[in-house]
Amino acid sequence: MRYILLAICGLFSSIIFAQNKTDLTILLEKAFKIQDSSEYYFSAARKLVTTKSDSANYLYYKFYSVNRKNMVDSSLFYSNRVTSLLQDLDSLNRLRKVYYDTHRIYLNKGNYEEALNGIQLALSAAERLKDTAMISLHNSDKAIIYHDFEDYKKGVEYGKKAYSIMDRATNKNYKYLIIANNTIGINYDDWKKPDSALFYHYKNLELLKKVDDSAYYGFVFNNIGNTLLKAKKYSEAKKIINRSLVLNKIRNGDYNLATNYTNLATIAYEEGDYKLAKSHFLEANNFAQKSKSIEKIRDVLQQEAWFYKKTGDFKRSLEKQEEFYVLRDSIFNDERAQKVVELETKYETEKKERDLAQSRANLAERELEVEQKNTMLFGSLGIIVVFGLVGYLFYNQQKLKHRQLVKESALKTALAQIETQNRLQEQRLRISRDLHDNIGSQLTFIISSIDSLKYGLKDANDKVSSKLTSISEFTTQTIYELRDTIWAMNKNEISWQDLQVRISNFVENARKADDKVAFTFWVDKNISEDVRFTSMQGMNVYRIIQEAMNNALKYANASKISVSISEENEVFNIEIIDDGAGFDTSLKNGNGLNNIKKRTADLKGNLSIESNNGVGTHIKVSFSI
Amino acid sequence: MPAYFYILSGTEFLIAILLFYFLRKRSKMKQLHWHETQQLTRAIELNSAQIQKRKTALDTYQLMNYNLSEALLVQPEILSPN
Repeated sequence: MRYILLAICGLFSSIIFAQNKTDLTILLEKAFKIQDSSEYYFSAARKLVTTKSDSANYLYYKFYSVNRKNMVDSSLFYSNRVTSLLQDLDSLNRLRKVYYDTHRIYLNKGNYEEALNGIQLALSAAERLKDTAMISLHNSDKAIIYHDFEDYKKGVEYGKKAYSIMDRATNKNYKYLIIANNTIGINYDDWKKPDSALFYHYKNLELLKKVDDSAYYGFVFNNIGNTLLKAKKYSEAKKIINRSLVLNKIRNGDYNLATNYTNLATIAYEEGDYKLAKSHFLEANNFAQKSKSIEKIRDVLQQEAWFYKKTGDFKRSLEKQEEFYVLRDSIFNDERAQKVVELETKYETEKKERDLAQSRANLAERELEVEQKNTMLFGSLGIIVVFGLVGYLFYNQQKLKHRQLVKESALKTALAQIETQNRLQEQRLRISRDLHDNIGSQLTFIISSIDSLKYGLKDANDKVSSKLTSISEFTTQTIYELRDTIWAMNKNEISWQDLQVRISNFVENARKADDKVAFTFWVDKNISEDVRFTSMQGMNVYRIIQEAMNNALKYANASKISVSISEENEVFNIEIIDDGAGFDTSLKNGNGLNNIKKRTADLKGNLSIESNNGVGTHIKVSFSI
Repeated sequence: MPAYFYILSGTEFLIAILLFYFLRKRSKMKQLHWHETQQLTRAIELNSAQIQKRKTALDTYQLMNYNLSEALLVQPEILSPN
């Protein structure tokens, strides 16, 4: 709540303050425009002055108000006060204007050192404002001061400087070029260099075509006429001065009219028309007094002195000449001349100091710029390095993460595979074990039951007894085959070495069981140790050899049995040869040979049996792995 | 002291912090990954050992003696697949 109230108070204060400012400006403008009620409005405005800025504003209008009324002392009083305030407020444009108009006051008074001081201050303000037009104009003003002070060389110098400044400016203003040319011309004119003067005046005639304002024609024509007059070209001079007079009468310029009439009076008395000359001198005196220009009054006096001398009125001529000298001495005493020189030196020194300060400021600015650039450069580099590093580190991190994920993924896949394989194998093994335990025990029960039946049927005929024995043997064989199948189902593969050892053990056991039979087991040394069979292949090979050897021992009464295994072009050859009784291969085969055929078919191999009664048997099995 | 001195110092400080942060994170990631791979490797080794154990038991099967009960070694710790 407190803050809201404060804000409202602040708002009202600012409104009132703004209103106050607006009212003050309105009143001051009225005071300046409405001359009859000027004092009333100034008095009202004075009551509204609260700040330093208000005071400056008030004094500024006051200065122009009194200056317009040609109140010289009051003007100088307000000028002095307003300039100190404007300096404090750094209000350069107003400051320049006041200095300029103060210089005009001093110029009219013939106080050239003060006029010069004023114009130099105005020029400094214009330079700080970087206002090219005003810099040119104030240089022209200096040229006029030096002209009035009869230092024509310097006058020409400043006039040319003013012209050059404006001529080089991007926003060229022909008005200021005309003013500059005019100052050069009048300086040359009084420097007794009429040709140079005319050159610049005629140059102005060309420039006038580019300017809309007719005011400039008045003084340009007058100055041309003035130079022509000094060249004693009276008729040409009169013609052009009259044109100037018409223009100046329209614009009501006292100073220029005074000049016109002085020149016309001079032409008149040079041409012998003293009456007209007197009349023109009266007008000239009148306008010179009105213009309050000491320089103009001085010019009229000089011409009048010469005029009365020519008419033979030496007394009046002397009086005018004395008046002229009094006025001239008041302007051109040594002290004042010295002061003008000092002012000029002071101005030049100040300018140099200002230029030096400007150079230092520029140098400092450049150093600051360099430092800022360095800061920017190092800042940018720092940002680039930091971002680059962040990018590199982040990229490295992602790369590492990716590598880790790939490795983890591979391990997980491997684990999943091995785990699945392990579990499946375990499950298969458990089923196998159940199968073995259940079916195996049931088949054993069948065998035991058949044995019991055989025992119970002692008196049964041979056919029944033989059949029961056959069933029992078949069941036993089924148990063995079941076990082999279960084993082969759980074991994926069997190495050649393992199989070789198992066959070798079997042959060795057979040799131990029957030492009358010569057993030979031969293996081709070229068979690679890396050869691997599926467990079913290994089982079938083993059983074929077992079956063949059993047949040779049981039914053929062989004395020699040889088993050989060889390999050629990835084809395994298994040969079992005995020298037993042999048999007729065309007759129906027994269980043993049928088993061999069945297992060879399982191996997708070829079986050859060569046997004849009394010559032994040669069984050969070939299969590819 | 010129401004770029502070910029350089700031950049160096920032780089040091960034390096510290990223190296620390990298070390943590490596540690975590090592634990993960160790666990996986151990699990694979366990499975391999179980398979090898089964294989060894099956190798003891004698084709003459038909000692299948010994060869079919059940490992109760292995869970059946779903």
